[in-house]
Amino acid sequence: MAHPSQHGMQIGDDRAAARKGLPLRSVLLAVGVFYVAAALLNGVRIYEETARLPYGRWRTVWLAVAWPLDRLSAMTRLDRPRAWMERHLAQKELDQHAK
Amino acid sequence: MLFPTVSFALFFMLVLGLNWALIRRPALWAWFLLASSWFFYGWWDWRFLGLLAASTIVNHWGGVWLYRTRGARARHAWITGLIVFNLGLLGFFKYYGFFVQNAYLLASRLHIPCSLPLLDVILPIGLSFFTFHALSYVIDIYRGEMTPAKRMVGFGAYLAYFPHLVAGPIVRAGDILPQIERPPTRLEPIDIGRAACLILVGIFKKMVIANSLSARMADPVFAGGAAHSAPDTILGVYAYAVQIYCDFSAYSDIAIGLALLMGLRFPINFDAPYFSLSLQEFWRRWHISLSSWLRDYLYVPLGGSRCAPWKIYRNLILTFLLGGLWHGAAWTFVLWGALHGVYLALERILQPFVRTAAAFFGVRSGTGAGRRWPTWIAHGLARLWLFQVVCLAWIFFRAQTWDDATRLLGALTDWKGAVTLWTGINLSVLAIGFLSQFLDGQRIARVWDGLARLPPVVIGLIAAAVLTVILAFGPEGVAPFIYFQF
Repeated sequence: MAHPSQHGMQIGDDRAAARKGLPLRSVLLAVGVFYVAAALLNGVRIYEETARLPYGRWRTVWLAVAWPLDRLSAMTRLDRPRAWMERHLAQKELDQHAK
Repeated sequence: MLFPTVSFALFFMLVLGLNWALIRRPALWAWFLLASSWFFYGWWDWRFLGLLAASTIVNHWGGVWLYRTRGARARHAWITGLIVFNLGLLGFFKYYGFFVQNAYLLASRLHIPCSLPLLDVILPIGLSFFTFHALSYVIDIYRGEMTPAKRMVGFGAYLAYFPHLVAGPIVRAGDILPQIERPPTRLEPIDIGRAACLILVGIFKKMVIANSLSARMADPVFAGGAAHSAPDTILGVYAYAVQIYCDFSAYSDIAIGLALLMGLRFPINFDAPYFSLSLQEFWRRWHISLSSWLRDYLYVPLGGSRCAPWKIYRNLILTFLLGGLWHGAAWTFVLWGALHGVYLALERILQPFVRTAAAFFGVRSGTGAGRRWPTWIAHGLARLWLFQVVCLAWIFFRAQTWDDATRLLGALTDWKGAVTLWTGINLSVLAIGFLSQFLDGQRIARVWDGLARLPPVVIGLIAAAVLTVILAFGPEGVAPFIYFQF
């Protein structure tokens, strides 16, 4: 078993000294792709959960933000993998989201 | 704003972009870090921004004047004042109610009047953490181990930096301030492999494992309702032990990963603590930032290990008593700390006997006067024993009241009751949570580096897919992290 760290900063400092990682542009590209893909894969569920917020100004704002994600996610059918996993693997009861 | 929520994701997307846009102008970047962190904190409760601002101003200027003061007596007065200020803040917001409650209790038992005002004091989130940050800053200046921050905005950004603000890690000013005052350039590589793994593993540990352990086993056992048999109680306690590890290490992992994406390095906070062979080792692996803080600012000033044996034991018990109290204003936390302190003292007392026994059974060197035991058996037994000791203490940590704790201890004698929690899925979740310790430290550095070798688009897609799987298996909504209450 690895010996516990004597100083918690060691790992980060060593990896920084060894210049581990990617250039900034690549990282921002990866993060951007992540956000877009995650939004498309989860857009429908994000909208459903937003619709459960208490009624009020914030719910209206968040629904306005989530609605395009919901539409895009459903149109591209990228919401289906998560729905399938929830239904068949996680055995969750899914809300019937009224379109 | 909890980490694994849509609102935080939007916040971080904006902050990440602006972070790298402004980093070439360090002065403006520091203001941006401060503003974004205060926004994050204010989202919880804007009323406590004043507290954070006051702590920033007092500790920064206190540190500056402390640094410039030459006479020993004057410096001592300054540091005493700053410690009193910081502990006073913590004491009032966190312990006033506890103090008054116990004063009334004591007064009623002694039949004397007590007229302390009963105030409903709200505990500001993150107070315990940023108070310890501030204390380490001023004490390090007093000890001559660091110079004050060049500008108050830099200190303010260190104190309030949103990844670590509400639940740690308790980062030292000496580790972070240099990074804020000389920020990374846009030419330096960002450790995206490690960052992505830490964030995703953290979300998995929190949303899938910790929440499942809590809902399936820990909460039903610790709730004050139906009695559980001994096997179920044991499983519930084990589940809590793994839940709190997954919950807290998840927060630390996500905080470290987010900071990495913004170009800053944090210390690790957990290193497979339940694989420890002794309680001493456990505290070098569990909440490393807190245990090292207690060691450097409490245990060592009390005399540490460089004094008479009875003083060492006293220092250990006192340090852990206060460490327990730091976690919460309740006697159960104090008792939890006391149990750890007493056991650590016992470990020291029994150390020579343990070494003799180990040598006799040939455990360490493979030779000895007695039978030979493979090291892995001895280590396995030691780890198993240590886990039981830690779990016993967790009963007091998790129990809401002394009665709850004693009820649970009583339940450990009921071996005839129904066993309902030992199901395949419960044991699987527990095992996965326990084994997730293998992801601590740099045990999976090859995975980090392998991920970083992939094209950026592929990294993003893989991360999104993994997150989707995690969300599919996680519960609806996000429960707060356990350490938010401290």
